[in-house]
Amino acid sequence: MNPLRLVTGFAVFAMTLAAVLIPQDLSAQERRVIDNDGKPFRIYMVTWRGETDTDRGFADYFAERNISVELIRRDANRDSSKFPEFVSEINALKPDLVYTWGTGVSLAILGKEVEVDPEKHVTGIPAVFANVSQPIGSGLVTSARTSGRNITGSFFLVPEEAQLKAMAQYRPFNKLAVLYNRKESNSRLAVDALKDLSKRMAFEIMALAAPLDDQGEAIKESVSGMVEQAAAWKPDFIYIPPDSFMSRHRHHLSRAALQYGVPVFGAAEGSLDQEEDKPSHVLMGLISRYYNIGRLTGHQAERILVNRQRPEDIPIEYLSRFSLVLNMNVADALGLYPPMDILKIAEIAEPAEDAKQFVPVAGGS
Amino acid sequence: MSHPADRSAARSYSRRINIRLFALTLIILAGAAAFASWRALDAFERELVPEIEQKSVTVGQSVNDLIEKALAIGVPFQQMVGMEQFLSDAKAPHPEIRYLAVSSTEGGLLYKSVSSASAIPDEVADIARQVISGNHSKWVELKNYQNTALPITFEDRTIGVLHVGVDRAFVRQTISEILYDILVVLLISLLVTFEVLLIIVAISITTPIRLMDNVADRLREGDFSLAVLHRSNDEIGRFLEAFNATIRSINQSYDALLNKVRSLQQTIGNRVVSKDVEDILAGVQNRFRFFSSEGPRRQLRESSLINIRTPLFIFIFAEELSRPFFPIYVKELYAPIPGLTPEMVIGLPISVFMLMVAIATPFAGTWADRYGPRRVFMIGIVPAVIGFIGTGLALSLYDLLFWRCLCAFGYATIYIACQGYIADNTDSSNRAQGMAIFMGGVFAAGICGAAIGGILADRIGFRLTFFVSTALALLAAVLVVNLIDPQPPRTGAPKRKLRLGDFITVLGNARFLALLLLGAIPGKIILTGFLFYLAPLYLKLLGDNQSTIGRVLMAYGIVTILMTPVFAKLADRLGAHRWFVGLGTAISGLGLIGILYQQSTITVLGGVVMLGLGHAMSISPQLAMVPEICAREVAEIGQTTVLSVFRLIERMGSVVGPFIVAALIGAFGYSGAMAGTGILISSAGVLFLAVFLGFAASGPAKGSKS
Repeated sequence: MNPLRLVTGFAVFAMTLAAVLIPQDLSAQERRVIDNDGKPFRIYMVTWRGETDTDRGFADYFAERNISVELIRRDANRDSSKFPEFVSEINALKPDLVYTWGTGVSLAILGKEVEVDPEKHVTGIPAVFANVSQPIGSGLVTSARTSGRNITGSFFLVPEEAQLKAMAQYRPFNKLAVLYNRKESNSRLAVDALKDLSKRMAFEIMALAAPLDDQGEAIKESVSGMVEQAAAWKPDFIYIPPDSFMSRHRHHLSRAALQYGVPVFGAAEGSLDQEEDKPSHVLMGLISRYYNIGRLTGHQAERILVNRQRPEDIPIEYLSRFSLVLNMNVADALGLYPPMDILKIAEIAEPAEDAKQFVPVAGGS
Repeated sequence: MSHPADRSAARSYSRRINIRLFALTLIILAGAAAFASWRALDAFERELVPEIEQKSVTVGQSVNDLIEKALAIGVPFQQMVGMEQFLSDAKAPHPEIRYLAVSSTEGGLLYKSVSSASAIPDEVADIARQVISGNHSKWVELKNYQNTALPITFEDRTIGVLHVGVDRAFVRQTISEILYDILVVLLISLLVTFEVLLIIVAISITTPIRLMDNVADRLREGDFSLAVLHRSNDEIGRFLEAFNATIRSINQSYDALLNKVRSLQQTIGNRVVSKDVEDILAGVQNRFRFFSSEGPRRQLRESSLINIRTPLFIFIFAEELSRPFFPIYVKELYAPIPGLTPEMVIGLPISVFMLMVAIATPFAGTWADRYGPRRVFMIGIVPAVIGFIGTGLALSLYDLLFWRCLCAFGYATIYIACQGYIADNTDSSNRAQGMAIFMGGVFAAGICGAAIGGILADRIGFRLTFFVSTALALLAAVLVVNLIDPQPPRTGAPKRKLRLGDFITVLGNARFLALLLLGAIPGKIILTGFLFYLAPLYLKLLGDNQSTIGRVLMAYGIVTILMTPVFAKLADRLGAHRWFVGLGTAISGLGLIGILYQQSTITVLGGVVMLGLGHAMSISPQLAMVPEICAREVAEIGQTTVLSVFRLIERMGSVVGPFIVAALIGAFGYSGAMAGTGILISSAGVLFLAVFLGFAASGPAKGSKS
């Protein structure tokens, strides 16, 4: 009976080998602390308005991956005059990596791709940027595939197509009104993208730009009138691009939309912010959470520091999972309840103000 | 030399023992199995029902969680959006859940998702009211469904009820599924027990008795030089020891006598007396033979046919294990081959196997003559084992084809080795019985293999099942080493090899050609094309699991094993071989046409049973017809050669079977292909009858009487 025993033994051996080998290998790797030849990796962080969830996600990522880092934190506190002194400090300290938060900081420290100046910008040290709404639109880079230089980072905005799909999942739509400020490049780019998509996804689009005053600035008093004009067209949604002007006037805008019973979709977190003095009545938005952007940036930093990849070899990426934010207060006021599928994934925003009061009890439009 | 009366006495004794033992085992096993099954079913039902309830609660709870979340964030209960889609998505992964429905406080249904061919029972309104007033979940057995009702709460109040309906037929079906498995295992264990009994009785009772019978024959003829070679501590062993001792003591007495005579001759020294004594001794030595006078004592061994049946049974069993899933396994490894449709590619490994068997058989025959069955069996085991391992580990369709070729080579070699063993150990008087023993093992293995293979495939997967086959093939080899003598007696002249001329001679006979084309080849086409290839794929398509497929295929073996002897005797007695061949062929295809009326497992089973019935009718009469219609050719080149040509050409049917059916699938789909195969084969049967009855009518054909 020896051959039998041999075969059984062999089969048991092979299966045990397969089952045992792989997990052991993995767990062994997890335990080790990763550092830079015994020293922590030094990362110089420049932020615009104090610590945000992005910075926390960034730091947490290293802790989880057992990567030893020393974080040198510098905050501009909304003062752009501090940027030159940060640049000279970076050049003096020679950290392993530079981290920049927001479009303004990133452009000041790293420079637009076409006008990088080694005198004014950091060039010799790899850098990762976060919370830059439109890395291409702002000129920080010209291609998502590669920066062509010593930097990489992520798109902060969610692709328009994903946003439209989320809207359609909430409520199939045929007519979309877009309110924007033509002075803002982010908004112009978004409107162009939406117009393209309207052909492919077969819906009508109406883009309304805010009128400008003599100085060429958008007139804030015009917002209510714009909503009225849009509502007369009877759109299924009003869409606000990542537009600072519209975000700043989100309260007026969304309150007016409530009066006409039109739901508003916000493309950036700004239009959904529920600040005490400026509550938002935007129904929903699909956004990148700061914390998740921080973790993605941490992952890119790991590839540069630990895996020794060149930043220009790391493409500018989107998050793989976006957050669907829902204002139930508005849904209730409009009587436009979210489908169960949306509820499964949605994050529910805490309303700062009752929305029902703005909806006319009878009639309206 | 032998005394037939004694022989048949011994045979009938072993037969009696076998029958009694088998009957006894049957009663004990059936009783034990029935008891165990009853307990198992009972336990299973007790376990299954709470299991289903638990699953209903889990699925229901996850649905309720979201409904309650929606309520909590302010969606009114009456105005939930996309509920039907949501409920349908929640239900989709669990086919046994036939409906999910939400009742409001008033008992009316707010939202629901119902599977096709199901309906929400009227009782749910009542149940909802009870749940709302009692504020706890409720599990009710309704006529067709097991309804689990879960309260939906909002602000600590029950405002609605979610109903989860599980099909009770699912419970029944799961239980009957287990019951079938138990029955199959019971049947298989009986068959295996029978195989084991056969060999035990053969080794411990029949063989020693036959040996003694043989030796006693020689004793009667005055040959005292033989003894029985048999060692065991049982009664038979002790008896044979005593028997041998008697022979020994007779030999010793003879020695003593001889010594005495020699010393007497020396003492007396009288030439005349001495001469007389020499004469007497010469006379004794002439009439009797003692081992002292012929060197060392010889011992006699006898080979029992059962010794080969058990290893063959185990080997065929190993090969048949993959029967219920082989084409499905091939489908998983599918890779395109230019010039062939996907269906043909999936059928290819079966065809290649059959082709390789056809090619290897003549070689195996030559080897069997030269090296003896034992060595040829061992030669066959090597490629078979490598082939099984390779098939189990196959990376793609291409290497699978190679592994299957090895298996086919081993299969052909072993088959021929066993046939050779039977031929070596029988003479014309008992060869038919020997072949019956041989075929009995093959059929029993076919039944067991298909059924057990299906169960194994469900439990451990396709690939591991091939390793079970490997282990079984090795076990068969171990048995052959222990049971079969290395040097079998070679009898008879070397067989005549097949020549091209033989084919020309035989194929010139139109009736022989008709028998091949309208009887034998269609029989093989439907066997490999339908039973081996189409049936497993089709049943899989109908959603059957491997155990069920195995059980369906097993039906073919059961029907043929039960009905073949009945029909064979009947056909002989009625002298109506051609009627049996024609009708059998027609019947074998008839069952397949039923698929046009109902596409279900039962219809396929019907087709398999009819196929078994048809083959039980037609296969043996086919062989009986060959010498009938080829009297001239038999006289010219011999019956063996004619039969060899017949078998070789017939095997081409096995090769093309999957291709023909694959082509039909391409043209008409699965159901169409099944019916098409049936029509094709039945027409061949009808045509066969027309041709042969036409022959009979057109004149008194030679040898038309059987």
